[in-house]
Amino acid sequence: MKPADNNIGKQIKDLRAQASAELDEKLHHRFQQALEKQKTIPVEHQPIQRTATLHSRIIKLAAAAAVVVAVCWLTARQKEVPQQPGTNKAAAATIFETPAELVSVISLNMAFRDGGLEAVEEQFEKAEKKVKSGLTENITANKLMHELQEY
Amino acid sequence: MLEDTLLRVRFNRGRKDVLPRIYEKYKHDLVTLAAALLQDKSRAEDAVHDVFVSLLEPHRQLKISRTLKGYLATAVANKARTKNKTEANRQVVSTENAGPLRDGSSGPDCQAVFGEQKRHLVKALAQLPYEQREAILLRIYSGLKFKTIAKAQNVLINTVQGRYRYGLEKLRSILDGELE
Repeated sequence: MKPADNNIGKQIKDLRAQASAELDEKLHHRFQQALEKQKTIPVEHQPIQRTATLHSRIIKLAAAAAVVVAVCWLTARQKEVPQQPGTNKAAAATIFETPAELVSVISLNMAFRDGGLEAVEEQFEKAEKKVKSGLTENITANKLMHELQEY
Repeated sequence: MLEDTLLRVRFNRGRKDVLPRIYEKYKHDLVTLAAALLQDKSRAEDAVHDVFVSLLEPHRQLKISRTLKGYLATAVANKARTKNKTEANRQVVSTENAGPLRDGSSGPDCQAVFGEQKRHLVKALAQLPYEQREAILLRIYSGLKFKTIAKAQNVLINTVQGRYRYGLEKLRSILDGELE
């Protein structure tokens, strides 16, 4: 805006007209009538405050964001539960009882996927212990081999 | 500003009891704007009256999403535009019978409303095309953004900027010519 325009702008901003008493009177009368009418409207026909609050754009956005965050959090939690280390490992150890089952390809594969090389090693140790203690049966090396072939 | 926000929120919740306070706060500004636009104080007051009456209508669930002052200024400008069109149509019909078409010059009544000091400015404003006058007054007097004015006039923002620029140039040349 040029300096001359600034002067014009200042003059325009300084414009001032007064509202007449007649207009004041007319409008205040209308306001009064409307307020009296509003008081007589039954409660069930008056606007609901709860829904009126949701007309605000910011509140709508905040509500939508809260819902999205809650859904994301719940989804993440549900995915986390089966991925916890050790849960499947324990299950695998309970599924396979005999030494032959413990050192089979399927069980070792499951153990590796659940707990890596450590789990495989543990499974071998467990099978070895079982063979040594002879808890399951009187297992000889030949019998173990035979069992493995059968499995 | 805080009071405006409070009034706006209450109005949006259906509280019509805030309207007297809104009217008292902005009545002079709105009458000034309408009078400068229409160059006629009685029609200006009619426009302001109509705006507040429409706000009172119980079946209309109006929601004011921007500033209170901006909303009211836009509403008054819209009403003034309608009144101006109606008046122009009425004049066209009446000139078919007799008499010249009334130009945009302000009457003595309007100049008296704004005072002797503003006589030149009001006279110059009256010589502008209505759209240019509206763009200038809404931008400078009411402080609205070009985007808001464009939306109110239902035109592109460039059109409003053009109207504003040409209007100011013309206003300046009229005022300079009068002073020389």
